[in-house]
Amino acid sequence: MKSILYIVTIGLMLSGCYPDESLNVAEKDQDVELSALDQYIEDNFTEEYNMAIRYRYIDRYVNPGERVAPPKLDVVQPMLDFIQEYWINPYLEVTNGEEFFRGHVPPEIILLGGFIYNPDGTVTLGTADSGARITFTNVNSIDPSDQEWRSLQLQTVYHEFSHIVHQRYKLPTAYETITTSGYTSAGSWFNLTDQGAIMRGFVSPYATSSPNEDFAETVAFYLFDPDFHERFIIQDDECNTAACEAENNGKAFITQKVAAITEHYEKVTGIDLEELRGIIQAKLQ
Amino acid sequence: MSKHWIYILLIAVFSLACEEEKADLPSVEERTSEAIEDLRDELTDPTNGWKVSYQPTPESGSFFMLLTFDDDGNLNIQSDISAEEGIYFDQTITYRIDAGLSLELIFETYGVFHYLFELDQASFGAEFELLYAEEDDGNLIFTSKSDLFDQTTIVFEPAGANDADLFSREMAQNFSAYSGQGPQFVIGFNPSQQLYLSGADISIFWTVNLLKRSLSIDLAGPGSSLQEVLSGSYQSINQATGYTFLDGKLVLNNPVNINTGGTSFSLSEISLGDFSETGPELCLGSGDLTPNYSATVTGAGTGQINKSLFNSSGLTFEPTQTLFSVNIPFIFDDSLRSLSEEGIIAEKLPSAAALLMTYGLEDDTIPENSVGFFLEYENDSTAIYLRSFNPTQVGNRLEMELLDEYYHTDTVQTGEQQALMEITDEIFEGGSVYAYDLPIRGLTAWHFYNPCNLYEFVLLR
Repeated sequence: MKSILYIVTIGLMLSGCYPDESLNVAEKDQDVELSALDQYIEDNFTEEYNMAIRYRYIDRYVNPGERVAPPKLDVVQPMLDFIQEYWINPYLEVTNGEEFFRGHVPPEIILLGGFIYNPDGTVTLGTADSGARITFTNVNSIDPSDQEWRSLQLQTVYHEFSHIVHQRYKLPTAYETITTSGYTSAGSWFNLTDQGAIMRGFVSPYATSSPNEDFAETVAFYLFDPDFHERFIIQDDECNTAACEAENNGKAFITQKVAAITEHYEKVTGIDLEELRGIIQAKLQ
Repeated sequence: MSKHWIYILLIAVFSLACEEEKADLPSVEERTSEAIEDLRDELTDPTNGWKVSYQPTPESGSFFMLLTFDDDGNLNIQSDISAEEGIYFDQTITYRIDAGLSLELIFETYGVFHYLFELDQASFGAEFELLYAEEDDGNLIFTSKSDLFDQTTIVFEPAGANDADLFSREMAQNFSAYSGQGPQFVIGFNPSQQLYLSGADISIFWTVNLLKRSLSIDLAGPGSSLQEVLSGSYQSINQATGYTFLDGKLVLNNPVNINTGGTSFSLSEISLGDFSETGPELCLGSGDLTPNYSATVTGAGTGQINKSLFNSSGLTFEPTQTLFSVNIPFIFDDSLRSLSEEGIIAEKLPSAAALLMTYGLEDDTIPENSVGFFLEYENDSTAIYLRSFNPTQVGNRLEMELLDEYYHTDTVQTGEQQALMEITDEIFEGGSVYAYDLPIRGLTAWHFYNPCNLYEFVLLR
C-alpha cells in the first residue's frame, strides 16, 4: 500500500497539471492557405512522388553558422520545371527508370536562393545530405541556358541521387581497390587540381575524398558532362610528356570505374547508365 | 501519524492544486497558436501597414521601407533600393510566424531583406529572421535573431497614408551612377564625391559606400578645386556615418561638424535637387562627363555634388629615395586582364619581370623620376630599362609628362626602347594616375588608377 501511494504521489508530481501538454507542439506556423504554387507542388511532387519541395526558409535546413537565403518566389516554378525536365523525366524515360525513381526518391528537396556562406569565409556551391535530402543552391540565378549554372545544378542532383545506390546496394565489388592509393586524406582534396585528380584516376578533386564520393562524382560527371569521354576516357595517342602519360593512366582507371558502375547500376537498378546519359544529353542539346 | 496519511495528503494537495488551473489555463499548443494569431493580428492591423527605418549595423546607413502584411502569409515590401532593375521597389514575398523560444517573424522567400543579408558574401549583417520583443505605444519592436551579440533592434511604426511619398527612389538610383568610372582592382572600393558649396566656397570630400549607405568624410576646405583645397588650411575630418534617403534628402545618421575657411555649420542633411550627367571630366579632354547633383545644405547654402577620384589615403604616395616596384602581373587593362598575360607587355616586352618607378630619387646614374621595367632574359641575364618623366602631384593625382629620355643598365636588346616607349605611352595615356593606399600587412603599397584608359597597377615601396 505504501509503495502504491508513493508511486501515485510521485506520478502526480511528475505529470504536472496539464494533461494536454506534450512535446508534440506545432513548431511552425501552418495556419495559412495553400498558394497556387504550393498546390502545384502538392499535386506534382508531394502527391506524385512523395517528395517535399522546401522553398520557404527554415533554418534547420542548414548547419549552425551557415548563412543562406531562400529563393525568390518567381524562380521557384521555373526551378521546378528544370528539376522535372533534367532530373525526373530522364529517369521516367529510361528503361526501368520510373520504378527506380519512385522507389528511391529523396523525401526532401531544398531550394536556396544563393550559395551557402560558411563561418570560415568559404562558400559552398552544392551540398550533400546522405541521400535523404537534395539541396539546390544559387536558384535565384536560374538560367538553364547558362552551362555553368546548369552544370552546377545537374552535378549536384545526379551526385546526390547516386548516393542512394551505394547506400542501398553497396558499391560495385572491389570498387575502392581500383585506385586505392589515389584517395586523399581527410579534408585535403581541395589541394588537388582537376588535372591532378585525373592523373590519380578521378573525375574531380572531390572524388578523391572517399570511395562513396568517387562513385557519386563519377556517376554525376558521366551523366551531365557532354565532354565526358574527351575529358576522362579517350587516351592521348601522341603523349610525349610525363604529365600526359600520367593522365592517360588516370583515364584508364576512370574507364574501369565507369565500367564497374555501369554494370552495378544494371544489376541492382536495372538502369542502363549509357541510355540514361543519352537521354540527358539529348535534352541538353 | 502514519506515513500513509502523509502520502494521501500529498496526493490530495497535488490533485486539488491542479483542478482550478486546468479549467483556466489553455494547453501549450493553444497558447502558442493564440500568441501567433495575436501577432498576426497586430501585423495586419494598420490600415497603411508599417514603416521601418532599417539599419542593419551601427556602421551602415538606414533603409526606409513600408511593410504590409496580410492574413494569408503575404508581405508586401516597398523600399528605395534600386538593385536588380528596381524589383525591390515594390515586392511581395511570404512571411511566417514561428514559435521558438519566442515568437519569430520569418521572411520566407527572397526579398529586399535577403538582398541586404547577402551583401559581402552574407557578411554585411542584415537579417530576415526577427524575434518579436514587445509592443510599445503602438509600435512593434523586433530584434535580429541571427546576431549573437549586439542584436539589431527593428521598430515597426504604423505608417501614415502619405508615407509612401517619403521614398526617394530616383535619388537612390541616381546616386548609384557615382559608382561608375573608378578602380576595380580592390573589391568593394568606394567611390569619392566632392560637395562644393559655392556660397561658402567650401569643398567637402568623402567616399561613399552606395550599397551600405555610409559616408566616410575625408576633409573639407576652402576652394572649388582639389588644388585650392589642399593648398589652404583644410580640415581633416575622418568621420564615418550612415545615411538614408528620405523625402528628397540625404540624411546623415550622425551630423558632421564643418569648421573651415571661417565658416562653421553642422552637416546633417543634404537636400538633393536636379541630377544630370554634366559633371566634370575625370580624364581631361575625353568629353566623358560625370554625375552631378545640385544640393542645398541648411546653414551653408547651395552647391553641387560631383564625382571625384580624390582619396586622402593616396597622399602617402610621395617622392622617396626608395625604388617603387611590383611583379609584372599586377598591371591591368580596363577589364582587369594582366598586360603581361594578354596585352601590350606580353606582346612587346615579354622579358619584363617587374614594373619599376623612381619618384624623387637622388642618384648619380638612375633618373630622378622614371618608369620602366626590370628585364629577365632567357640566358638568365638581367637589366633595368627606364623612361624619364616630369611629375606634378596634386593630392593623390600624379601627373606624368613622359619624356623621350631613357636609361638602362647592362646590355639591352634591339627594339626594347621602342617597346618601352609604346608600353608606357599606353599605360600612362592621358598623363595622370590616381594613387590609393593598398592595405597589405607588412608592405607599403598603393594601387593606381588611370581615368583615361581605366588601367590599374600596383606599386610597392
